[in-house]
Amino acid sequence: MIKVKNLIKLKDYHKNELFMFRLFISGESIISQKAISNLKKFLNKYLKNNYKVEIIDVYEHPEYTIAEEIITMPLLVKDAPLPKIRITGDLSDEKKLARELMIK
Amino acid sequence: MNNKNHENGIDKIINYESVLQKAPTGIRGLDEITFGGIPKNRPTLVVGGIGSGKTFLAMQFILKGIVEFNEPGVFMTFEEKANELLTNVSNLGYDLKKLILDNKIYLEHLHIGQYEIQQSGKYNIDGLFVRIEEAIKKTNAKRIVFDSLDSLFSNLDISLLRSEFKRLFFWLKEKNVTAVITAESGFTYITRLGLEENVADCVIELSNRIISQVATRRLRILKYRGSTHANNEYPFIIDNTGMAVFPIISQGMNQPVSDDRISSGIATLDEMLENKGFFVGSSILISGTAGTGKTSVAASFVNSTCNSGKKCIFCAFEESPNQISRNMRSIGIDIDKIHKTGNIHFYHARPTIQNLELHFMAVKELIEKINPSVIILDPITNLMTEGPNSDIREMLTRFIDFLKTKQITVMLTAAITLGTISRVPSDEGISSMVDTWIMIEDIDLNAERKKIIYVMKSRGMNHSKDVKSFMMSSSGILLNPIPKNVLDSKVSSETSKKKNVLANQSIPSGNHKSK
Repeated sequence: MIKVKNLIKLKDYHKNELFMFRLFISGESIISQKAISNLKKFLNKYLKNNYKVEIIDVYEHPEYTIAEEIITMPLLVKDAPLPKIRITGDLSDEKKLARELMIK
Repeated sequence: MNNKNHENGIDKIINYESVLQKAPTGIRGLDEITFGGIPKNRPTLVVGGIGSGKTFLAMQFILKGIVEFNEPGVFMTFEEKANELLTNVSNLGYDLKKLILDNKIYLEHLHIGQYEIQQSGKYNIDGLFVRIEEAIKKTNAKRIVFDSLDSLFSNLDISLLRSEFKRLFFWLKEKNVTAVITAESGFTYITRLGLEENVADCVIELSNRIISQVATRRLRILKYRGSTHANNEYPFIIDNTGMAVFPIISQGMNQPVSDDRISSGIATLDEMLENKGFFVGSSILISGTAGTGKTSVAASFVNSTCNSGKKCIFCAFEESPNQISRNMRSIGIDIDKIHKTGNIHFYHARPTIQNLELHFMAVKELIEKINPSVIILDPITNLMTEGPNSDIREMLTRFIDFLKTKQITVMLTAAITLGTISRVPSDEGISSMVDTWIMIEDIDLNAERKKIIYVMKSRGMNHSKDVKSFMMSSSGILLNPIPKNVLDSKVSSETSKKKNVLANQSIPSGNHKSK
């Protein structure tokens, strides 16, 4: 059984680990650009340099849509640390993003 | 230069508006009630309850498109996994695996685990667009199916989907792809979204209703923008050959007519019909009370037809073929012998085992196979128990029309009860659809049961108006004239009996209401 204390420790552990993200966007649409800038702002604020982001344009790499079962876009996927988390939208809701990604 | 371009633009608009192109579905009957198919390069919505055949219709649209019209298709399913579809379709006799390998069809399962996905801010469904575009590219598709929207809608924001779907359909139009979208009927979001009003150009409604314990599938065109269509609800079936809709209009009223005659197989009956017998391709009704020998008349007809080398189908809805052949031996007709020549085919089934429409389908298939010149339905009244009479009449009319186009002479027998025999010429409403109506009655004359026969009507011939006695013996059926004065006294006594009406019993009204 995991105690509450341990959970907090787990969060601290995340702080030091490298965060791996993939952001799927669709071309140069406004919503894609918004998602990119919102994500950059968010990561710089919360994770400093402790992250890696790969931005993938599905127009150029349509094969990802099937592999990742993408329907809604833009889509942010956190690959590491586990668990894998998927968040869709232009990522303008900063607080929700932080909560879902379990950052602070 | 500019001016010329402008003119071209107008031309394009005029051409586009004036000719509504249609994409034939290839589904029997559906293309007839839509006068050519569903709108080409536009979305069509198929709505219906659970198990009403939405997915099946959509799948037929794709498969027929490939096989009959050489139009490759894409099947996007939100519900069934691709391999489940494979097994469903293999029952239809299509080699789906081969079609997939030949790049004629592309199946994709769209998994919507939106609950696994969190939202932050605005989003769109570009991911779906990309997948559709890739799928269309793979097969060079001209047809696409989305089956079904429900799962998509239950997971995503409806106000977003409204604009996204308009975008999607506009985009499909540009790609020259005809779309079929299925959705559960009765769910509010379709109306909330205004899919019927704004987005879909054609709406088809399917239902599966149970009337008198027999399920009947029905189809209706709710809307068809820019085109006339048949408005009624039509029965349809799903069987191992696919889907078929049965519009009455499909048979039309322009059947060929023939002056040729065919013998009834009873010489004395032929005498009553201008000495020649029935018209080829006409419909004959033999009605009478129980045990009057209707089946025997039918058997005599079959006997003479088969002996002259023509083929017959005997549809027995009451007795088994073996029983009929045993019984007919008593009037000197050896059905087993005819059976050996291969001229007679039996269709034997209990009417209640399936929908009447399916019986007719099975008989039609048999007709296509052996091409008979005579068909017997014995008795037609057994089919009547199977559903509301208006439906049955409609189906019978359609079936008889079909036989007439094929120039097949059809003989129906009808068992009528004593109550309805009172000469009301509406015999369950089937008399209007028959050309010749022969009545056999059982009366008592001078303390003896006697059978009498007369021709009630026979279109297009000067038939005898005599009432004759009807005799069955080991050498066959014989009609004899009856002395007139004997019969007259009989008829007057019959009518006086009928005036004896039961007094109405008034039921005392209950005073059990609570205070």
